[in-house]
Amino acid sequence: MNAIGQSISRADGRLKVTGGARYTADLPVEGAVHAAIVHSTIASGRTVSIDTAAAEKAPGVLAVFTQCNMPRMNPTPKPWSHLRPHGQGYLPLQDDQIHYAGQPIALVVADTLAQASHAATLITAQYDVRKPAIFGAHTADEAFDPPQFLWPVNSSVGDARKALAAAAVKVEQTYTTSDRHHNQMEPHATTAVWQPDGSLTLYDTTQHIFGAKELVAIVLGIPPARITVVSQFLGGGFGGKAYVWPHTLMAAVAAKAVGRPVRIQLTRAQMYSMAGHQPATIQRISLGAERDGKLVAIQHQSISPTSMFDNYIEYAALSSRSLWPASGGISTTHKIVHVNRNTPTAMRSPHEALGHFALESAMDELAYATGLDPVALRLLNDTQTDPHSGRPFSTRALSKCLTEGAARFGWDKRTPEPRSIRDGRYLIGQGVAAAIYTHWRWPAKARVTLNQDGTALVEAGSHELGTGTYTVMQQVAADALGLSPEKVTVRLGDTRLPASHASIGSATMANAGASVMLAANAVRDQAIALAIGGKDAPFSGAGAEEVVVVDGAVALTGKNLHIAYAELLARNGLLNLVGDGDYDPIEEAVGPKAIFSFSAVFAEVRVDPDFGTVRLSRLVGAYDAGRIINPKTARSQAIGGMIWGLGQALLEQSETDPTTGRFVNRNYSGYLVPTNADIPECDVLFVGAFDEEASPLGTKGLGELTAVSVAPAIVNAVYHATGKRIRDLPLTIEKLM
Amino acid sequence: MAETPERDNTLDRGDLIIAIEVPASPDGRASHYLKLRDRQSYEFALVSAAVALTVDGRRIRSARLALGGVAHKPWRLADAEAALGGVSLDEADALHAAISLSFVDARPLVHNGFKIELAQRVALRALQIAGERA
Repeated sequence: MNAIGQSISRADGRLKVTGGARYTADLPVEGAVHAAIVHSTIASGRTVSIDTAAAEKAPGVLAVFTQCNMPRMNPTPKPWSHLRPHGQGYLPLQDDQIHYAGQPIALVVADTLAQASHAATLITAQYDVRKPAIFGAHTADEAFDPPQFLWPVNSSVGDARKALAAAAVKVEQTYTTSDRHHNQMEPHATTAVWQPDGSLTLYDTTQHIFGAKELVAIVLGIPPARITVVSQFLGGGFGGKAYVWPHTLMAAVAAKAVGRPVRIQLTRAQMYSMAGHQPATIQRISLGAERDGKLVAIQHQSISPTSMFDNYIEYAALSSRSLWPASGGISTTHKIVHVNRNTPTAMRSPHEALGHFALESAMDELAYATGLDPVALRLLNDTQTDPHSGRPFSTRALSKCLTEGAARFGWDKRTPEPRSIRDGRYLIGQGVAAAIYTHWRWPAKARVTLNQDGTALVEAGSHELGTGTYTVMQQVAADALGLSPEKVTVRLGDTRLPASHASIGSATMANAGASVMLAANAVRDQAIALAIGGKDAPFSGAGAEEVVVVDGAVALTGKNLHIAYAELLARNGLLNLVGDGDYDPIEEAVGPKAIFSFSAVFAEVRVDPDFGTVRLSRLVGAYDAGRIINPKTARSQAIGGMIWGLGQALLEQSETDPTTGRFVNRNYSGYLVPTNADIPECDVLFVGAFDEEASPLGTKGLGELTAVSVAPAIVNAVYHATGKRIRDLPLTIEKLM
Repeated sequence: MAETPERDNTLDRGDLIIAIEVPASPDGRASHYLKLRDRQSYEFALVSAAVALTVDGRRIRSARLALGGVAHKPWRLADAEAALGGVSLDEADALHAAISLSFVDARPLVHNGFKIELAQRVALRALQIAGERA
């Protein structure tokens, strides 16, 4: 039986529900002491003086660091790179400048966390205060063209302006989204441990152990080979743990200075200024179409804020490059503006989830402007050629997403007019949105060891974010070796293992998974070679193509002959077989095909028109993410993505105080994420097929795809329910009442 | 208390509320509490309304009405209560007109202007639901 394709329960499920899974801050480290961070109360200016005298005398305090005595760090490299992932380029406690509220101004190290936290409250600072720059419609006027860091900043195919001017039907609107924070359940944490030989171990909440190793090596000025980074379980990452943030650097530097292991765990409130966030966007969309709904022009412009010192770009207009073709042209632009805040970062689903809100809302407006059904409009504009690059899509089952999703949802019963479906006092609305999601191809390495007892060990420097990596890697190795999954043990999250890529961009299955498959295949090939040509070879003279692995044995097809791994290895005097997997694909951008995953999301809402309350009654998501390795963990991913998108649509916003420049709702009470009561029935369909361009495993990115286009589906459903178009997220009561 | 604006009550240091007595009253026989919020649980009210009614047939004999989420304490709508006497529960416009009397002097802050209208709609709905039970 193939393990791939089976709904296997999580390999680490029992560990997690019994408390046996040790998360970073739970790992006991002998002699560890604790550090507490003191933050700037202003958002712009400089510290004139910081009084640390009382803190230094407080019980248990080992050291107090400010910019006056903090050891110097090396600047982090520019431009930004996945390989050297600095979360922000401005380093902590290096000078007297204040660029954002909540910036670290002091660090207290003490024997216990309580002592450090208390001493931190004794520190006072005098500031020279400047008026902070806050992002809004007024600052957006100062936006500029940033340097490229991921994709080209602007794009132009054809002449969208000319085509738009001549278009028979136009939709031209501005859509805005709010600042959001990741709010992982597990706060960021680092424990830094220096060895007497000058090597450093970091137990770190990171989605990118090898990136952290490279980046910390640069900042500390020591060889990467001296650094080990460990991250075996994450309580959620969502992009917010993919980069190195100041607390990790401070822990490493402070630990060296005090000669003890130092642990820093951020509080919930500290997570708002000590790690990144998703920046707000102001997006302008112009669609031009023929009267029959065929698109002739797409223009998409996005403006987003960044910190005073980094040029982070939220690529919200990216999605408009490849989702729909427009015969006359497509143009996209991105601008950013420097304001007094910490550096934004990728947050599930970066770029796409914001851009699709604008693009797929505008498509819904176009459906009403042309009198077309929203599903029919999208089917009419479907394509098998990437409008941006001109390359054929490797696989694009978007029409299947739309039609099968619509069938599951019961879309054919929908009456198109707004306010046409009622249930008592409630207005019922049904909406749809499509999505396209970037596919990443990255190098990854893995090692697989087959033991004489018929068990196997997978070793890969990948990560378990809560998504099921331990489980799916079992399945991949099990199939390659002809073992059942429970015979396979998986080790992840340690830079002493073979190097893998960041677990971001929904790329782990396709890339790290491919490296595991290659390593397991190498072991399989060795076993087959032994069976044909090793000592006392049982299948001597057979061709390799006649030999398979199955049920923990090597077997000759059609002959009912087999030899167990244990016997095969024993005969050859071997304790184990070891295979290395080195997956080194070409970048997607330079490949022959355009690779993306696709979806269609359908939402049904119930709106109380007196109050403007929106409650979800149903969500249906149909996904083309290529082959699905584990339908159970994939479905969990999809449900999580739907809930994530629901939060974006209706609840989540980080509010900035316009006077102080602080994020003010820095906790789970003030920053609303969906509760169980907010979550409707979620129905998940996988309609994709094996995509050989995307990965040797045939998979495309899934996790982040599922959080895209939930918001526009909901907002479009609200329009259908009420006749009111909301173009600003989140869609809260006061905007609709 | 002008000198202690941080104090929202008259409890002294060390005081502890050990019981609240709610006297039985015919006024509370038909009542309803309606809480409106962005998130459906684990969330404070944007606006809430508490209503207690006595009726003669479908006409209100007496009404007690208070709002939550609009001030630092439950906010009694005295003018509305006075005007609701004799109004039919089936006349939504007349109920709304009576409720609106308590909002003549309401002054919102920068970000909560919508609550003036929302509070009246919530109070009206609470009144109607209580009325269905009377």
